[in-house]
Amino acid sequence: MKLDDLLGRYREELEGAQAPNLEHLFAPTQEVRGGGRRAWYGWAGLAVAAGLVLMVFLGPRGAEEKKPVVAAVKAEVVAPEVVVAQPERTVVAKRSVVARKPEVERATFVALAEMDMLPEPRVYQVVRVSVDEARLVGLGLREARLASGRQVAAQVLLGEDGIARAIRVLGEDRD
Amino acid sequence: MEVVELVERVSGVGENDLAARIRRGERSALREVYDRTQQRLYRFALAMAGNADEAGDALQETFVQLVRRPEQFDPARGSIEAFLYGVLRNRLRQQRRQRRDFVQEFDWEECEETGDETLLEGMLRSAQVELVREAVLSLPTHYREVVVLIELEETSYDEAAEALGIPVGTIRSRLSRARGLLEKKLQEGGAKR
Repeated sequence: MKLDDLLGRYREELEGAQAPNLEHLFAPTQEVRGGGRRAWYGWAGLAVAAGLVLMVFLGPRGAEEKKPVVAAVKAEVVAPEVVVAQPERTVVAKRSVVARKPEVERATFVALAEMDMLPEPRVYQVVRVSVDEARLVGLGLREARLASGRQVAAQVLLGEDGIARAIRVLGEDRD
Repeated sequence: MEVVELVERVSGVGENDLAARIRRGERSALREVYDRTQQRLYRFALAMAGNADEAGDALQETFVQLVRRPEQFDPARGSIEAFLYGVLRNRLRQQRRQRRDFVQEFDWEECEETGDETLLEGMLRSAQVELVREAVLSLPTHYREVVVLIELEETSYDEAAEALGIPVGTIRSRLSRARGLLEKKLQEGGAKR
């Protein structure tokens, strides 16, 4: 048999060969990407909502768990500024003020739950504020049944971005 | 014919748009190229590699490269089909280096009666085809590429020259030499059987 005839037979065989289906390589990806992005937003929103719910209902327990971390912050950054901000603590002559000192010392800064998501500030600032006691209930720092609606004095630990990272309740605001 | 249509489109204004869309990686354009070229590229790969697995792998890697790096296609240097042939040939060469046992033994168990052929005719036909297949596979790559494109795919000399990136004169001389080698191989193979 001639070469051309043999090649013709081989050609016929090859023409019957079916290429593997690779259509999946060319599937549009826009919808998938968009869906993924939407899904990400949805999950992020859900996570934030869950965080807020946890902060309101489980605040006290969460606050207790965060104490060691806050204590470390206090030791490194806050303590010196607090002393400066409250000169009465350094005045030995006034016995009445000295008597209040242990009460202030017992209170400690409590981290605000969702602040973990923010970058850690390089510089902190302590600001003294007057807070409605009802708001402390929302932060898990007061039990609702004990809240009387009075104003209490507190110190707020601010980051350089102006966002509060922690709060320390000082007591009833007498000013 | 697919190649003719493709070449016509490459030379047209519309094809310039297609080339731009390919380079931008638009899935619809890539899919259009795939639909037009996949069968021809697969037959080329099958004839060059000698087995369906290797041909399928090389074809997939070729289109994956097109999808991932569409900007590598430069319409100024040739058609999209020539580009794909180039990628496919490189893949086949890489595979061949990795798998030295690329020529498989013919499986007589797979011989089946087809159509109006008797079993004996079918076996003879398969044996002849196998003889040619082995002879083609035994050719050096640069001869085998020309035989597959010109003799098996029936592409024109110009198209084959573009796909392989060599002058038409080289195509002619390689084909002439390859046919001589094939005849010699077939005579040797026929005598052995």
